Amino acid sequence: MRNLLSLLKLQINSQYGISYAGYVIRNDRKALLKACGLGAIIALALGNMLWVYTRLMRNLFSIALTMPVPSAPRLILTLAAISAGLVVLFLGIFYILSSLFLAKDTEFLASLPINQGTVFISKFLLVLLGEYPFVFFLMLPPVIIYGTGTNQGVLYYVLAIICALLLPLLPLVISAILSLLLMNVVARSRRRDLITIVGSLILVVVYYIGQNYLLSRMPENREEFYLTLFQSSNAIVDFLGRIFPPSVWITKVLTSGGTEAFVNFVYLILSSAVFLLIAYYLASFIYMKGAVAQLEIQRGNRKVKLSYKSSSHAMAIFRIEWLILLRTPIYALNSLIIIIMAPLVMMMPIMGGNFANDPELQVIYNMLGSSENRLEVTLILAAIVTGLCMINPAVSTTFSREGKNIWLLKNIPVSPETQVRGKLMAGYSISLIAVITASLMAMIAFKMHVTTILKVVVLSSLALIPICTVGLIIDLLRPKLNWSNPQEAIKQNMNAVLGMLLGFVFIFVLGVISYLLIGAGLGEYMILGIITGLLAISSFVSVKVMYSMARKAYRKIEA
Amino acid sequence: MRLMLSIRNVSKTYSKGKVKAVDNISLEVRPGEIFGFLGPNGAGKTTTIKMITGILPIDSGTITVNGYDVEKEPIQAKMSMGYVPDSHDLYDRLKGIEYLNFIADVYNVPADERKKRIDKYLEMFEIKDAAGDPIKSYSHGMKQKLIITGALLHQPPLWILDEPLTGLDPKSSHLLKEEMHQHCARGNTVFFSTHILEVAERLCDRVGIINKGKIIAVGTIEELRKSEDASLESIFLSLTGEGDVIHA
Repeated sequence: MRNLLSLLKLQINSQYGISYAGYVIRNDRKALLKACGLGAIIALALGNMLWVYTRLMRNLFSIALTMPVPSAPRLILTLAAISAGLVVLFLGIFYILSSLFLAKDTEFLASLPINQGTVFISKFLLVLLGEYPFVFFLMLPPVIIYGTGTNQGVLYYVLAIICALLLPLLPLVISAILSLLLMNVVARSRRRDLITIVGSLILVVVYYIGQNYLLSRMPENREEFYLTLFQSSNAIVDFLGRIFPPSVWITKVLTSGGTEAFVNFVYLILSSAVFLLIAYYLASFIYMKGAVAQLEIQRGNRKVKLSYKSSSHAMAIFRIEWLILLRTPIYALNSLIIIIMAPLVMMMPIMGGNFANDPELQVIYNMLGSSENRLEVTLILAAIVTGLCMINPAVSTTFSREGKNIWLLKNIPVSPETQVRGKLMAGYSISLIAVITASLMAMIAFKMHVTTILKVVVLSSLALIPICTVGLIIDLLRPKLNWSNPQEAIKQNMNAVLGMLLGFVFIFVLGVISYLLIGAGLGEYMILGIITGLLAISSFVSVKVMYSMARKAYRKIEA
Repeated sequence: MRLMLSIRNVSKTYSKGKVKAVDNISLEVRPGEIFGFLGPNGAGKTTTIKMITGILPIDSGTITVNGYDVEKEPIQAKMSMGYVPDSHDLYDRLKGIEYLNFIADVYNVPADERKKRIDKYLEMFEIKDAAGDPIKSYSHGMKQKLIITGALLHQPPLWILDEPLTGLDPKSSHLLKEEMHQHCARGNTVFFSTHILEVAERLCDRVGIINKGKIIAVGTIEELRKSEDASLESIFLSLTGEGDVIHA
């Protein structure tokens, strides 16, 4: 236990830079002020997101209050718990893989006289800690809305906090068990990086297919099923809970009271504890084998034909960016794979199973296909697709990922303007791939017209230019170069969060402008023209600003 | 006479001016010479080299390489030099040949010369068979050889090396020293930092000694000997202990 606490303390300190922050507070007032300013910008952008989310939840709660089923309002808790659980599960697999197996401290940890199960648990707890901001962000508004709306007492809030703390445990443990098994297969293979990337992809797809199968499996007598579903909120909660069972237990702990709440609380704790124990024992035997295998590099024993192909300066930088991204599992998983998988995971329930034939979905298909709502559908879908692609941290961490190699970029005879162009092209091309795949998936899932999808592709591709450029500028101005683990450069980098939040604010502003234009009664093509024009101007201005800042910012970067 | 490297009144401070890493130094290196830059740990050697190569900004003063100001004409200045750093931080996930192609691209090495030069150095340092492997699989010495190969691809007029012999086996050390001589024989210049005084003594046309951020001696070994009448080691120890400046 003492070992676990020491290890955890060390890792928390290293990951969150606590000692370093203390040093900065004492010695560098300017850096402290900068950090405060950055914190204020993040708080503002987060506040914007929280406001939108809270409004959405409050509207859902109001609608639920008007429903004939008295306990329908509690559905917002189920939905929030499902969302939080899915976010943890989806991001968790990549986070767990990166932290447990692809981190650079593996060699150091393997040399310590500490049981591998303890090392595993300390890393697991570190990842768990990192998931809480997401969980609390998603859970807090519905918990407060339901609590104040139904006059709940102190016990409700205490239980809500405990449930929020327990919520990410089960999805993370499942991710960890799957990762442990995957990495042991990887340890036996020659091309470990490739197998890690492909294996984790398969893992996510198989998991979500299984989940969708459970969700879309309908009883024989459908009419009776729908009747029960709409007569009792329990049935709806149970039905939705198939996606993520702890969401049902949490809803019942918080809203049922008495024995039912207690039994569900026991379910929540017991299931988490049992799975954690399984993971611990599994890790005690196989964790280090999978982790240490990542350190072993097998050199080719055959003569390879060398290629001497040449390219332009910007293309050389573009190529290097892509090669490194594709060959570093942490980078590939957290940028390229994540943005291609996110829309797939979201749209899978609609694309397959019995859901696709549901009468309710047919209504949605008709609505999306009708010419009446075409503009709104295009704009909303473009915003969603852009939002999904925005989670790509490839551009907003492009300099941070250089780490100690930054000396090379500073030393080569290529102007900073050309270098940022190469880097922007590389990061943007990833986002572009995501725009096309997400739009195609939307077209298949919602049976949308090809012209609508083309408009979505154009709008999203344009919107991503200023978003990517601003992300690059952020990382150019404050690159995180001092890291010992590539995960710190991409996953624990505030620049990625900041870029995403500013992107969200940009989409929000465009949304407000679109709303006002529609309200003013302008025609579809006029509105689309204005929005496209605004996006083109933002793109032009942001790229110009990036070029004008590049030289000065490059000079300041100290390796 | 045109200088290959000129450092004039250059200073550099860290920690918001609290630590003076390089303190108003001036130095001149002529074409065709091998110049050794000596000094104890933390004397300011690497900081000076990083300023010459454009990696660190200069707080005050000017540095010119082959007549180009490194701050005002950075591209031309960088084109005139090849740099081998003391650390071996490289893109681990790239293959050796991919790194060299990248370097050849950015230094505009002509397509017809590229293969010839890459092969020449890869064969010389006996790493051609490993060129198709990821850099991650290279040993410390192999990475050093790869960086040296990259630095020589564009045949730079000024070759800068920071502690180049660290981590090299005796054969590779010998080859590197030979190549430094050859490079100068072709009319180019070599500027390198080292701790190994015997190497400096045998290899350098002139040396400069830096201590606590200040240049305390510049000249040929013979000139320094005249003023101190001792071996380079005792000159070095005496100078870095006392901090007096010798004008040779």
